[in-house]
Amino acid sequence: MPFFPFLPLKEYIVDSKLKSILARVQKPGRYTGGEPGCIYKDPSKAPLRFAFCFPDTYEVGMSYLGMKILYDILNKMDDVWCERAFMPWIDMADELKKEAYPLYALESKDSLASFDVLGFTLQYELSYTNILAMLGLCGIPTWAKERGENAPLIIAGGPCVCNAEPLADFFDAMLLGEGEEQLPEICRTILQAKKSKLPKFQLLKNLAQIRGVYVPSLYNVTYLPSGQIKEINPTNGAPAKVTKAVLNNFEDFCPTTSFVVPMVGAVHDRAQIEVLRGCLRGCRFCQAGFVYRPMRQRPAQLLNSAAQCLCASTGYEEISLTSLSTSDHSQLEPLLDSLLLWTQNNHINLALPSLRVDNFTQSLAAKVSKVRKSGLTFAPEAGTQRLRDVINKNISDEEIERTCKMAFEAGYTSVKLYFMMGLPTETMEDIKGIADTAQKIVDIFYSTQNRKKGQGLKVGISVACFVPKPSTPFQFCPQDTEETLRQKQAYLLSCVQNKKISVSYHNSKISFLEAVFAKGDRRLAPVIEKAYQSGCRFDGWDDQFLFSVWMDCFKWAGIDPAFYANRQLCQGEVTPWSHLDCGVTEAFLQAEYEKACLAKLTPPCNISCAGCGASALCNKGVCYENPQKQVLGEG
Amino acid sequence: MKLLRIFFSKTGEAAYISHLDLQRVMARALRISGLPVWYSMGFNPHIYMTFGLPLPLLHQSLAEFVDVKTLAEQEDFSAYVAPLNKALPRGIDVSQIAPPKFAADEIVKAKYQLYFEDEPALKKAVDIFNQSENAMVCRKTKRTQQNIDLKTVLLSLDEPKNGTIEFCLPAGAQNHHSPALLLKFFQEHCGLLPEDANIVRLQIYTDLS
Repeated sequence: MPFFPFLPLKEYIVDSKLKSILARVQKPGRYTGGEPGCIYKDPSKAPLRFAFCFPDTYEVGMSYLGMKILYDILNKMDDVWCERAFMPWIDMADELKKEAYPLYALESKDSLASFDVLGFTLQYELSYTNILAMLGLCGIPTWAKERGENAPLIIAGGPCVCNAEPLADFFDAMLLGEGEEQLPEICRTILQAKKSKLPKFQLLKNLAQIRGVYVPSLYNVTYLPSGQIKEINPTNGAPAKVTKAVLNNFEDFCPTTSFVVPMVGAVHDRAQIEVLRGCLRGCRFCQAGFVYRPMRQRPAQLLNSAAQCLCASTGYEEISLTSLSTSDHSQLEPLLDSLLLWTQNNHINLALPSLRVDNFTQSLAAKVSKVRKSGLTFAPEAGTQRLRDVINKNISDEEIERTCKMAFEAGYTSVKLYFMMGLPTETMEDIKGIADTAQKIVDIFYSTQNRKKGQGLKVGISVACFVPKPSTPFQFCPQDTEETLRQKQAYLLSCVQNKKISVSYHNSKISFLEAVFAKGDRRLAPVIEKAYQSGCRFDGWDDQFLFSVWMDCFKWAGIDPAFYANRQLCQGEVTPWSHLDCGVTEAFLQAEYEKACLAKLTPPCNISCAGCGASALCNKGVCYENPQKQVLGEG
Repeated sequence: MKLLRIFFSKTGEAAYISHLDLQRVMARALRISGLPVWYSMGFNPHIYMTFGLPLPLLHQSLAEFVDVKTLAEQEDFSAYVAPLNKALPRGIDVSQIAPPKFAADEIVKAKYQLYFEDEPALKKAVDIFNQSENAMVCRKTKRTQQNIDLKTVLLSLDEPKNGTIEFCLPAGAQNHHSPALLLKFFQEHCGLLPEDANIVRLQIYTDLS
């Protein structure tokens, strides 16, 4: 006997061509949309069609909190429909090309070419060729000047905008800073322009008046015979310096409580709650630590209720307290206490990424281990105290030892350590220090009386290559040459004697290219286009990276990439990003660099204000007056 | 503790959700819906769920079910159908939540619908199939390889109508044959591409007649 009543068959993917394409690719669920939390609107009632474009795979993009925040905010506007688009994996990209099927947004399946705005997020320098590939897949001209009045407006946001000059000629506008308030304002300006049929040039001039909006075509760049930049001059009323936008009331601004929940495994598939923004540590290599200043934190009560709403709307079984340095939240323990009150009964795990060695307390360890014991991860970044002082990583050997001992006593048996090599002033002594630090941790484990028995210790050290980034005190520094980095890697391997310690590296060639584009200027645009045309895409993926093709493209353009990556910037040199202001003053960066060379520390912002200038971005007081002691007193 | 059976369809975009992903999707929807489901007692407690017949990727179905356990005393769980549907992705539609009338391992037969846009090609393919003395296809699993005569396996095959045919195959834990085998025959002997096919599982049965 039959058991099911007749149900009408619903068809959401009507296009038979797309259907047969999807039948031929790996993990087609990445290209179908339809996830819980997706927003669908009637296109006739949403005059502004916005595609949030992530220039990497679905799995990476769907892990990104920024997209979830802006998707939510834009779709709350009645006259805007924000959809999502990702870089299709190679098999899908080839199928789309072969079938001449345009790249589409996941919700409506409409070609990206039919949208009003494509908003790309620039998270990583080596995703630049993917942007050109995505434009190419829907037939949109790459160069801004070649796009007509009816082409979509191509804009960019994200951390790389603090110097995305290599892409300047491809984009109509770039958005510096935080998008929560700025992006809706931009959409309103575009809607207005659409209504009154303003020409694109006039729209761009209007956009340039919005805080944090950078319209590259309104700036002329001239060069010196040495190859350095002579001047960057604004035209048509554009501001001489573009100052980043900040969300003024971050503290009271409720974190997003509805997510599009991916169905095909995203890298980070969990409820993310942004507990604080910015970082008060000031590690001198860290771009995020400078461009997201000033540090602001949300009250525990707001975070707890937002987490509750988010779990109720998504069904997630894990909450991640997200930020650059979660243990710096002054109310972290009260927050954990209130979360644990309801998460445990509801079978929800807590994850605390980015903990620091120096304020990892016993009670914190207990609270985290109450829910789940995963490996312990720390980032000493450098192997000796001297070099840690140079980079202003305010942690000591004693703190590392104390924390590891505490963790081993709490039952941890696996430690992962992150280091960098190629840091300014680094010597072979410092490289040896990396191996010594790992060895010391092994020794501590075996000298811990009440460690977990019967399980071997695993110490993993992951060593990245230092990449000097703009808007940091190390922006002036050259990167080690690839040859030096390889020598250092070989020396480190020779220093590691213990089988409990495993070493992994980053590809130094990838890091080299990262440095070139991080500090690059507009003259690199033809190189990127040529590389894309020569088959480069997914450059950040080790197995897809075509280094020799890239080198051929530099040669073809007559450009020496070492000029960007391996050259010390001169005192007073005009940097390609000197017209882009992330809030931290040039003088402060210079002073920090000089202190670094003397291995002098700068205390965290909550201890004393170093005068970086970023507090002027917000209407409210100074960052160091705001949090710690005061708030703890209240709790 | 009692068993509850959740009946649902999986159509449209939802055909692209793999079986493994479906388990996670269903678990999250259950949590949102508030249906009082039972969690396993292990170190990492998870919702007890048993799916009927796993559905291959790209196949649609009107006849899916998942069994969960509950400690709740109540008899009627129909109030959870709407919240569950609200939490599920579009394409997965729950029709009923009720105690099961048969065990999953009692299933022996399933009925499928196959649709091709190219109506004459399908008609021709079915003619070729009907006229052949036998219909050998190779069934490959990860380890084994087996030649099967579809003629002896197929339980019924209706005449094509509007590019659509309906047919029945043995299904279940003991003796299962995928409708993909028929597609394979159509591809090898009639040139129909499997990627142009639309397959829908229409019904499952506990007897072969």
